[in-house]
Amino acid sequence: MCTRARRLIVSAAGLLLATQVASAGGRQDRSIPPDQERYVSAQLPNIALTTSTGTATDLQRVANSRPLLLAFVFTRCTGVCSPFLMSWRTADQQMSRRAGVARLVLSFDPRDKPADMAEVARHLGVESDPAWTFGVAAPEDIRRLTQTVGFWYDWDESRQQFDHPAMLAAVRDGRLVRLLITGTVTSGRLDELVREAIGEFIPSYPLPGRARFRCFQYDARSGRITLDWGFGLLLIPVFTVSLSTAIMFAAGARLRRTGQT
Amino acid sequence: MTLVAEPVAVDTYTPRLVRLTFTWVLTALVLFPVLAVLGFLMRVLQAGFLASVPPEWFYAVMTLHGLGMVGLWFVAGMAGISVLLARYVRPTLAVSWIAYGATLAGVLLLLAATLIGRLGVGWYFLYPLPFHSGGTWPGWATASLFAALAIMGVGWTLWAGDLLWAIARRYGLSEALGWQYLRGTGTPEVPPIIIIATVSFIGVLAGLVAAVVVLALVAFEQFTTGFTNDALLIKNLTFYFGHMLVNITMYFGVAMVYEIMPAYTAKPWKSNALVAASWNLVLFLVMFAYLHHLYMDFAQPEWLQVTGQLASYLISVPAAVVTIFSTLVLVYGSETKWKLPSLMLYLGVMGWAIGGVAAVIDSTVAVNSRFHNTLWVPAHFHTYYVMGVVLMILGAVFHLATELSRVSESLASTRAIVTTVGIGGYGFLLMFYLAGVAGVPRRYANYPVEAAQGIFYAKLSLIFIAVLLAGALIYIWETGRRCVRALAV
Repeated sequence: MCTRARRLIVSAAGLLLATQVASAGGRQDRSIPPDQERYVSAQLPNIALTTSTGTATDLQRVANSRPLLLAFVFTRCTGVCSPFLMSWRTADQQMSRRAGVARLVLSFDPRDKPADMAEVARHLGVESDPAWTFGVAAPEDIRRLTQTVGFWYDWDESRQQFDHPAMLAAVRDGRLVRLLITGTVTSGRLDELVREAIGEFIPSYPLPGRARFRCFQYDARSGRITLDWGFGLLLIPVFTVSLSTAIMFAAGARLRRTGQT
Repeated sequence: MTLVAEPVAVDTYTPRLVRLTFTWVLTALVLFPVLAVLGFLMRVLQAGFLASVPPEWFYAVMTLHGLGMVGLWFVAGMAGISVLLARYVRPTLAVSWIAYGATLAGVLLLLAATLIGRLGVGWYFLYPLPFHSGGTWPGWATASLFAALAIMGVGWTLWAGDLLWAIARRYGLSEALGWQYLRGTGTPEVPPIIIIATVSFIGVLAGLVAAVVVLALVAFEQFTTGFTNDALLIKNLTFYFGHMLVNITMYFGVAMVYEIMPAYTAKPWKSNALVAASWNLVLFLVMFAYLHHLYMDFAQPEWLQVTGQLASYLISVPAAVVTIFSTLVLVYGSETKWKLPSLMLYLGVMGWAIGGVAAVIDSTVAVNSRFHNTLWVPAHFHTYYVMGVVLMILGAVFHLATELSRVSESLASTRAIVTTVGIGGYGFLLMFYLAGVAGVPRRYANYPVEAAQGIFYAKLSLIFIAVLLAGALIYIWETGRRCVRALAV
């Protein structure tokens, strides 16, 4: 191979590798919600924070060995923060297992003060509920914590607002176990989140009526599994091959009888 | 000192058959080290070297390595069985050439899908992952994968069908399955390779039909609207196909042991009621053994999970235990000529036993809940592949190449091959097992701090893989030159 061609191949390979390396870095894509798979099991940094009552504490002490539900908001939000928190509070009140879970709402806006967060707690009507904690933390600590759980926020100068997702993170033993990314928290989804945070196995199942040929039907209410039409497709290989083998050997026997082998 | 190959009658091997067989063999000998180096590269990345390589490359390489190795040893096994069957029946060589062409076309498509398209779906391309790349690979890469499977599937179906047809032209179904031994008559006499091959080809065809159903369902979803597949159904069918092909590849290796080993022990290995009963049981149980791949699927009913565990346990008795004990009985008290083929065949059976025990452990539901998706899984399947069926097939290939080329065996290279493959192979596997017991997850491009032990074991395994590759290269050189010589003769 001539030197020029070899150089061309080496350059192309180098360029390809450089492109790959460049594309591997860079910031998170804002057009898609945080990907739970990338962050699950991440160890949360034990950041210092100040609660809405002015108490200095940290993440570990707030959790106090309990599963923790964590959300990030900012008090000047004119968008999703307030309806998101309201729906969480409403779903929370409908839950059967409310005890034993810590709830923490942190502001990611450096302008927010403990008093602002106290106002949010009052607005939600949980200011005297010890299960709820509202707080602020140093901007660099907030940055570290949000990056660990896949939450992002960008200042939009034109709207004078932060652009950010609405997200609830479930934490067990200081590690992220599940994310719920939604503007409206429903009691069913919150129940799954809490159960996951406690350490229960959360089965997932497809919505009924979507798949035409299903092996089994799972009734989420009764927990029963029944055979469905798709199971018949599992039998096709055995029947097809049994039949074709029988035909093949019958044809072979016929050839032998007629001496044509 | 040299070991002289025993000249045997080679009239059965026509020049056309020899050319076809060694074309398959030489292709396999080229692909094998390439795919093995890809495996080495995966462990390099897991060891923390080449950190700038993006993880998606790891998954693309993993896909090519997995699919490539499974396909390679399947076709090598088929080619080996074809040539050994030629002693008893007459397969159509043209069909084997069609399968060869289909395999080459499939390999090219897979190379494009993985190395250019960066397709990273793993060897069993579990639905719906191929259609949800998250931007990692383009749609054409997925299309290439399914096109490759379709083309190779057609070629292999024709090939297996033709070999079964060749058996059907000479034997009745009950004779080919050895039922005369079960009835106690024992006539007509049928060699074990016919019984094993019949069972294997029926299994292969069933597996390939399952693949056709998968392809049809996936194509239907892609080309119509409002139709969604049931992921559990596709998973059942995919593993029915995948597990079947891997299992049958092992049976091809075992058939070679039955056929070739007696040439070195000077003791015949004839069919009997035990052999016939065990392989008929295999034919029944192999249809259910795949179910152990679905233990983690909670929507699979409990009775199927129990069936999977029972089938996985029971299938080890007729195939593995009977073959292993028969091999030991065959060798015990015989004047076995320990040449490279007999050593590889014997060590292959023993490797199959070790890998089989590890597989049975993992197929226990209670254990699987801990070992699932840890490095124990690649540990066990690499054991019965690398140190099991691969040794059996390579031993058979060396036997044929030596027989047809009449090139004497060198004791020095035999010692070098057995020592390097033995130390390198089991050392490499031990790193997988230890990491698996430590709970290190499989299929991680790089290990987080929680699984940092994986880095240590990956680093150590590099040394052993290098030793194993050195042995493989000596083998390839020794066999390759014999193949070329045989083709020239």
